[in-house]
Amino acid sequence: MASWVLAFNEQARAALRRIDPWLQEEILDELDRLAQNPGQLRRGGASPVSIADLTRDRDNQRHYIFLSIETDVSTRTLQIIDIGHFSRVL
Amino acid sequence: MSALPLFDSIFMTAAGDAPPNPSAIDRLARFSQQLVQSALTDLTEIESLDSGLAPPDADAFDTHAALLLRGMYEQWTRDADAVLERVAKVERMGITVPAAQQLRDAQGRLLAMLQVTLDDIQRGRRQFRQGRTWTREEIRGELGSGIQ
Repeated sequence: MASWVLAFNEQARAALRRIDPWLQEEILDELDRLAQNPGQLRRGGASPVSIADLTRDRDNQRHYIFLSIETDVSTRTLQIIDIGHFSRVL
Repeated sequence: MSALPLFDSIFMTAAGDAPPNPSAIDRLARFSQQLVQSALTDLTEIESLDSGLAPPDADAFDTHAALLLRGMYEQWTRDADAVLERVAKVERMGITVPAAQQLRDAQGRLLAMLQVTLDDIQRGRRQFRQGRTWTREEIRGELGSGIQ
């Protein structure tokens, strides 16, 4: 099965640029995995979008990333709506 | 969280004893664990309510309900913070509190989620309908030579 397409809006693009490069790469890798298997996305409860999250550790910090994604089934596209990030000392 | 004054009282008793009273320490450890489990259970209940309100499609979502749920998540993160602050004091006494890291991670994930507001979601969806979008390749290219 062919991968879905990833599309970014200005907001998601700006959010990604605020994040450290190594973590940007982790996020893009995670999005690639989701594009291969969109069934891993979860419904966002009362929110109108789907969600996914990831956690990564580096330099004694734990980073929590939250992805808001809208699926367009007709074009098989994952639209990256926005990206949330929070980190704390381990 | 209403049990916090009770925790503070139990903590004062356990921490104030010299030499340490094993039964007071044991009571503090058990109560800390209960406090953590209670916070995690509260979150599960909010998530269950949230799931039950999932809209049939993205355009049919109930903004008011979503805002109220968001307020519940925000309150929960504050309550979890108060619990974690106390758990840290217990851990500094050399006592392990099971599931404390699970609570920290649950709160961390929620704090990342709360970075994205409902307005952000609405704006982001509008940007897809109206504006320029970037492909995966364009984004990877933009983010520099370190990312390929």
